[in-house]
Amino acid sequence: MSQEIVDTVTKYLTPNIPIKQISQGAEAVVFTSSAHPYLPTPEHDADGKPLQYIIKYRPPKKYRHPIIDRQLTKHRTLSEARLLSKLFLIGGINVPKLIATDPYNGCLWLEFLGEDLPNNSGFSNLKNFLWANVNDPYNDVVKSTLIKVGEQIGLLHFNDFCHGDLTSSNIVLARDDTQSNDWKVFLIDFGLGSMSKLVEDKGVDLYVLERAIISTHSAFSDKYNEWIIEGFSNVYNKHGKGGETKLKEVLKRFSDVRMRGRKRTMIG
Amino acid sequence: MASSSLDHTLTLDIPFETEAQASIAMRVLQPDPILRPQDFEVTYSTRGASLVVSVASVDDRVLRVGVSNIIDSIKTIVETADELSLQQ
Amino acid sequence: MVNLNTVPPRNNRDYYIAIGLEGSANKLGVGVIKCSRSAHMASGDNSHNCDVEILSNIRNTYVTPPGEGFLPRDTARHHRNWCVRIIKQALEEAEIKNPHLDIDVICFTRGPGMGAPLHSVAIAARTCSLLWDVPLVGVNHCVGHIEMGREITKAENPVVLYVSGGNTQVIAYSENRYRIFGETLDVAIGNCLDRFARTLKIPNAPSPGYNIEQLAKNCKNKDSLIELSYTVKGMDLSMSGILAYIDTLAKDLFRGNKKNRLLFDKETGEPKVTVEDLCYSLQENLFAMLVEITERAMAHVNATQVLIVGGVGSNTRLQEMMGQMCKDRANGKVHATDERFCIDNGVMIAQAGLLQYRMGDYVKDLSETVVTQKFRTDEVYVSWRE
Repeated sequence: MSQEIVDTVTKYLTPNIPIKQISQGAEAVVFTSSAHPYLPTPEHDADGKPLQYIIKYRPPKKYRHPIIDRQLTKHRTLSEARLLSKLFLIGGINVPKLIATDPYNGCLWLEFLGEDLPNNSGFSNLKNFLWANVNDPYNDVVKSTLIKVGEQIGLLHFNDFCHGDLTSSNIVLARDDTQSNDWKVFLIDFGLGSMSKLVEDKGVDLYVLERAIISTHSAFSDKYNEWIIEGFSNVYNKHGKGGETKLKEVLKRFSDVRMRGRKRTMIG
Repeated sequence: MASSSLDHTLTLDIPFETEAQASIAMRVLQPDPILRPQDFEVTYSTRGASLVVSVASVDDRVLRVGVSNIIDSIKTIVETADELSLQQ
Repeated sequence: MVNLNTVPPRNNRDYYIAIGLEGSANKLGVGVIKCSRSAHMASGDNSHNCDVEILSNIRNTYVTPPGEGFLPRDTARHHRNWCVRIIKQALEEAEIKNPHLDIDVICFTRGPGMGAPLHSVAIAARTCSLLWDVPLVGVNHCVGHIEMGREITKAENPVVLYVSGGNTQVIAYSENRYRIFGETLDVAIGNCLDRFARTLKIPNAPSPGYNIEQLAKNCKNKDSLIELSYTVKGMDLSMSGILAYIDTLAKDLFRGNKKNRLLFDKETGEPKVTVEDLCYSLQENLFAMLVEITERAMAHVNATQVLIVGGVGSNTRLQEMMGQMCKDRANGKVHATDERFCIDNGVMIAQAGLLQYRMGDYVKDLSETVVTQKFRTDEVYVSWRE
């Protein structure tokens, strides 16, 4: 990341807020910080360690026209904040807790989630988790995690929300409170998300994820996608005949979108 | 059952300079599948230095289009053979 | 371990010579390349660094009148009319005297593309192969673009943005395939620009996209933009809605539809926007979307390099925007080629085909040379990379 971006964000946040960059996504730079925007004293976890927070900053993108840039930054930050606060209230859906937002400056303050995976496998997003399991790709934890991933997406869609950018990097795993091996699955990065009743949007959402899994975890993608859809279907099937009908519609459109993708003539 | 209704037929006899060229033309044309085999059939063979194209089709329109495409390809083959054959 | 030296060059030479024939759309291209069989190619992943020498690169474009696109039948006729002449010219320029001894492999585009033009060139390729007794390789057009781009720019493992008349894809290499991470959900970027050029009735020579680029450059009012929808869906994007909308704007502008307040002043009835403004806004909007999905793919696969290939890749504004994006990323670097290699050509087919040939993957039976309109980039097994 260029120093320029660090300078801009430091100037904006003021030097009173310590930040440490953890990743640079396509549109946002993600920092951790021990500072809370409005609590008088920092929070601590059970062991007395200071809690970390996420600061997600969307820097101005110089490549695009300033008008497009301002509009996108404001729109995405605001819509991400709105979606997160709505989703947080829906039972069963796991998203990071929203702490503060400044849409005009493209800044979100969020709860920190996840941990570092063992053996230098990186941060505990789904992508790194699946890569870390490459030697035993179909183990029970992988299976149950992917089913949970499907359930999260199912809950999202069933409540008429769409993510807009589902990839294995945008799914974060955090330890359940219990001492088990189980992971709790969180969806993050709702910058392209929307409220939508349209079957088309849901179909595209599933298609985008399927392709991300195929291209990133090619060798095992058939099984992985099957487990995700299994979890997805579980949610709908819990809602009787109505749920089953809705599920059929979404899955039908999903396969239509997929066919469209494959059948489109590709002319050099 | 298809071939019985393919009663519009035509045979082309195209002379090449050598037997080898006629055989090359046949091998170049053979691989391409016919889009609607129930409406149109074609077989390629050689007789001496001639390429023999036998065509059968359901009606004269399909026959015309099909033969025209084959002749287009043959023109390319003839031109390639004339211009790009190895110098002896 | 990849060994690119398994198939020795013909006639005891220490270099390979390949001829490439391209005709998947309205460009007919023939190119001849020479490639030394150097020791470093025997091991490791060196397919981006082949020391290629371009002996000839001839292209002939089928140009239609303003307002008209190119139809498969007419394009195929154009290719048939020119094919043998262009091959001859390419051989002469490359000083190939005896193709039987001097050429190792004939490479031709097997797809994707328009069926009839592809077929017309494949016929010539098969005939040459039999006349000269030289093996054939059928090449995926998109892979041709990627391999040529890698060789020219030496980009080892870039995220590839492939933008042309028929394709819009974001591609990255993984486990012996060029995998598609994102693509258009409807029309291709080049197609979108071509169709808009048709509405504007601007010339199709040298290319519709080039002429739109020039108009956009001449836009007098770059501070404002005509608002268009911004339809990025993850690493995919959709463009048909934007095209339909800007098409109506252009038509309203030409027709003098004063009711359209976006285009005409309410009081005076004078037009507020020009054709140049439309072109500028369209480019800014579409290219921002392309750069964004490319950056998203880079973030997803942790890549630092981008390679832009395909006809639209020669657009300098797109290259500039991509460069700006890369500047803001750690070690980011953009690679692009000029119109000789960006726009469809025979050399790129020769380059990809020769790599394939050197891995022993060539046509054993002519039935393998049947062309195919649909041939996805990820269908090709990329044996020449690790």
